[in-house]
Amino acid sequence: MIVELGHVALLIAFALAVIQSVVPVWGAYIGDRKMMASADSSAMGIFVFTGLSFCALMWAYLQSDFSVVNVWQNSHSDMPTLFKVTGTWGNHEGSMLLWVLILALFAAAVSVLGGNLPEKLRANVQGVQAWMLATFLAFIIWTSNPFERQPTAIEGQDLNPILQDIGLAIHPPMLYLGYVGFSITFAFAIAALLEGRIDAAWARWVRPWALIAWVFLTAGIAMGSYWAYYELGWGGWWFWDPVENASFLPWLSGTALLHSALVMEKRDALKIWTVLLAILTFSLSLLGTFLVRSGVLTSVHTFASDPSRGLVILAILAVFVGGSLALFAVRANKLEAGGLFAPVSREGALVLNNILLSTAAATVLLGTLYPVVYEAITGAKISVGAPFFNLTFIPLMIPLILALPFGPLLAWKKGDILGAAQRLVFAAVVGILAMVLVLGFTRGGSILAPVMIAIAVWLMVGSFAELAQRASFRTAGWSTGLRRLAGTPRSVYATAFAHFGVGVTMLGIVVVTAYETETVTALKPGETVEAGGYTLRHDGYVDEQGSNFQSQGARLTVFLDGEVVAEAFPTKRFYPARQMPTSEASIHTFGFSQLYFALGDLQPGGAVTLRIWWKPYVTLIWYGAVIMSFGGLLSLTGRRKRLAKKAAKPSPNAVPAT
Amino acid sequence: MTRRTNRLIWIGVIGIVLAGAVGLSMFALREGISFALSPSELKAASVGPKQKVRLFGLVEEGSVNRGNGLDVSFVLTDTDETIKVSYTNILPDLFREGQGIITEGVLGADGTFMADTVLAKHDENYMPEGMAEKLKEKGVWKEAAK
Amino acid sequence: MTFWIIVLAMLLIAALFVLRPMLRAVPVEQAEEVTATDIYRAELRELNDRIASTDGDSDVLEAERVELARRLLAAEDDLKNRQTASGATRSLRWASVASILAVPALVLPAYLSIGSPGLPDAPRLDPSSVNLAGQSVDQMVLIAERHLAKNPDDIRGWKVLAETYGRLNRPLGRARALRRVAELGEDTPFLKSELGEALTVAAGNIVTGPARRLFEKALAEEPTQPKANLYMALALEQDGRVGEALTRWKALQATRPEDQRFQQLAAASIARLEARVPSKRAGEIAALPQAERQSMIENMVEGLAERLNEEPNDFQGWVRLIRSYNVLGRDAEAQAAFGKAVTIFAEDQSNVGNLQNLAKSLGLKPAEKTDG
Repeated sequence: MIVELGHVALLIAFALAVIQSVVPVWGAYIGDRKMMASADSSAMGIFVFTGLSFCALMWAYLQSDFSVVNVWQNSHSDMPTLFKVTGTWGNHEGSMLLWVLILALFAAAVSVLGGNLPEKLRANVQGVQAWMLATFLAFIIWTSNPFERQPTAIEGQDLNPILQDIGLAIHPPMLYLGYVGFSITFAFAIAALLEGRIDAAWARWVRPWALIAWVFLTAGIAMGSYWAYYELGWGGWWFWDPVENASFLPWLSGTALLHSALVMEKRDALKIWTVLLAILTFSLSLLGTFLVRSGVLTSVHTFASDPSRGLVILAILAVFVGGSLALFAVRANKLEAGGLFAPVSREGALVLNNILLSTAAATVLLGTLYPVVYEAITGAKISVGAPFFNLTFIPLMIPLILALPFGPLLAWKKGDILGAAQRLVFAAVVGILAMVLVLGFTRGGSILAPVMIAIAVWLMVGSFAELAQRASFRTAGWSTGLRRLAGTPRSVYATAFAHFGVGVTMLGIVVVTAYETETVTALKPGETVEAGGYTLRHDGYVDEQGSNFQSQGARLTVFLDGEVVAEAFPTKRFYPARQMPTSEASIHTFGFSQLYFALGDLQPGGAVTLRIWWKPYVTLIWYGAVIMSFGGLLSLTGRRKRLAKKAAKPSPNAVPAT
Repeated sequence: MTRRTNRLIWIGVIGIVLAGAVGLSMFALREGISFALSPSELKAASVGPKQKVRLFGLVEEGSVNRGNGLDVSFVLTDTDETIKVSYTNILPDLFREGQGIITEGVLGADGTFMADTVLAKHDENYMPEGMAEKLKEKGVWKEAAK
Repeated sequence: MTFWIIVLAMLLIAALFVLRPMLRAVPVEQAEEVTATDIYRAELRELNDRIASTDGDSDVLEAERVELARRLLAAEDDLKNRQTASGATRSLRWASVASILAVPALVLPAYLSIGSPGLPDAPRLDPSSVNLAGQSVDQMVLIAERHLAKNPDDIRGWKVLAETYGRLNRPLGRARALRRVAELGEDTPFLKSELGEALTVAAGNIVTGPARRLFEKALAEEPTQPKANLYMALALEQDGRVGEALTRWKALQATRPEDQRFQQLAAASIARLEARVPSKRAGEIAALPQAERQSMIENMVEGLAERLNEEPNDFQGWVRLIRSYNVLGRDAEAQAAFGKAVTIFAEDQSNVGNLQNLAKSLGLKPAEKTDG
């Protein structure tokens, strides 16, 4: 009965979304406050019923109810409980339901947290959000219904083993929170276009939502990258694969959006551009969720693709992306444009950031879609690989990162570039020192890597220049300096951490790309091999049986200078229900570096092929992302405080008449 | 600074960035792309000795031959033509006879494809793009019942 | 019945979510909204603080203050000119009525058309849910699993369960049960072989490392253990050591002349392995340069022809020979070989038919009727 009630709840959520699509927007149009007010309450209702429906599906998974087709296709009674839970969204239908649940969650969040929005704007935002909810709920119900039933079966077909991993438990929900979070900024943009008015306050409301989405997206991409790194057993952390690009594109434009909204809030400029970015960012999120699923683009690691739904998905994409861009084209001239500003100023720096980020996003988009376009025109199949992205993306990022530390040091309106440069001398010195050190300690290799390391260090140190300037310990002494630091707005810290995180990630990428070593060898029990400065000994095979797989692993002892430093146990698993093997890499972290083992095939004669990577500073790539997210969170908390400072308005006559 | 110079500076900056990006993309699209071909397409096409190509097809049953250490060779087929592929590294988990895979590498002078990457998709129903239609035409492959 | 009552309640609650704000006598008082003027005021305050603490270039700050003040005044004008929303309108009534009707009107028909009303849940762990006809074995397995969970030392129970799992094609379950039997003390060569077999089946009929080691142990204890021998031969074949596998099978074939099924299996395996030896080489030949390949193939064909002269009863061999000649463009010889083959297999109508078809497809002349 619970399953069927879940199905009913899903349909109720759809019905509510249909009502929500019409009533608040209509109310806003004719100026009916009660109709507008219904938006908040029904947004809550949609969330509650979608949530109930999701819980019912999860219940079916937990109970291994194989009378539900979706459960039967993607679960197995032998699976550990954790993966029964995560299996709920490890398939197309379930993941769509999760996606919509998060969409509903954000709508509900607007109704709880958006109390200080003008009611018309709020009603329109909820209305736009409901258009998406209704569309995607309809998509789920009529093309991807997870509540389809069948005469019960004794055993399920198991979840794709590659997805039976803790990384999957957290990674897609995170990523979805990011993708879908941008739906709110999209809804704000559409609402602004509908109303035909936009001001600095708009930017102020939009920025926290963009920040939340950005924080989750950053964390989600980083987790996805780490998951691919350890679970796929290829030792790579980024493949420029369509799936990855699809998540990276909204990140790039979302980052641009965060910065342009700042200009809009502070300087009342870049309005039209910000609205366009808000639309584009969510369009790219939609592209990210669906383009790969539609089967138009194929990727080596898509799981939930089903080309038969491709047409519907493409139609939805066309309506939302095309429709919103058309609305933008028609209404954008109604919005009041801001003025130009000096190139050397805070806003000038932020505009440069936007130019570079959006151009970078455009090249990534080009590389991702080029095969589709090329095939449509010439009929030949091509693939655009990592070289394309490395050649285009990196040269665009270098000027961005070089210029980045200057930004926060420039004043609004008119900055002092020489003054900023003076404050960055220290960062430049540390960067060059790092380069010299690297050159001293490594032999051979290209000069490129040390230069890139210098740039990364420059950014890491330079990120804290504004804080150092505020504290000015040297002139003001320790106690005054600390007091000043304590009094510094949290947004300054947020900027420093977020930028520092970018530097950390870059450092990790450069070092691991330039200095990683790979050893591929066949090893018999008792033999030893040298890899990445460590000595490994094969101590024999160990077999294990998991609840739904059997595994075979090689026990390896890792020595450094004759001392045992680690025991590695890379394994291969076989999942009989799906007749699928997987590799479980064994990873050992030393400081920020990792030693990575992956097992290959067993060879006749008892040897096993083994792939060993030494990955220096690889974890910095993900730590950097964590630091960036932390910066975003700081900015978010700082911002709530400032909004609360609203009391005690100065009287207008405190404004000097000029 | 006058409004005019101001505007010129911005136009200049945007111009340089865009021109740079377009130039880089054009260059990279010539260098960074590779054609994805089936064995018969590869045989028909004239491919330079150093040009990287993606070759996709099915691993022919009984054709996998493991040599010394990590050397392995196998035959890829699209049911019309076959090409021998040699590879020296660990094969992906899902590499099996009869399975659809993608390899990346260059065509050697002797007609053997020297792969430096072998990809098997992490999905048991996976077919390299284009392969499924081809096999369906021939009635060899049936849509997996879902 | 309960189901429909709950559905009704859900519909009611859903309608309330929409209607409550619309049915309220007075609209909820809007929490004070933040407007652009508030933001400019806050910024102005911040700026005043900075001017007071002389933090930064005072000219720039003063200019900024003027700019902010200008914007604040503009925003206040804008706010005054904005029309405020009215209370209830006539559309409200329509909206309310439509909302009440819309929820059930959308949900019920949709559910009745795509849902399965009244179909109970069927959790796997509840044996009573699995009482559909034809699945009684499954049900018994569930009962047995429970019994053994309570009495884990029941060695006979585990054996029966292992066998049942085997029949149900659940090799991992079978392996688990067999492992338990071994733990309980019955770790015989036979059991090891059974376990190895279960693991092999679980791995998609690939003899994996663990399985192979089990077979090796079993053979160390009992060299004639039939299952272990059989799977070791399979393992050799899967390793690509076709020759060794062939020898092993031939040796095995002699061991159990009385076992019909075993003999059939052995014969089939030997045939398969023998067929594989040349096919392996074909792959290597394809890699050779054109001229070398040609001469190598010709050598092979000569070899085949000689062999067929000595043992003419190899039908497949003849087929291969005819094809080879045809491929090499030596049509006269193909024709001759075809003629020879037809004479040799004249007794066997189906073979002759096959040969005729082959000849037709290769464009050879059909053989004249042989007497007999």
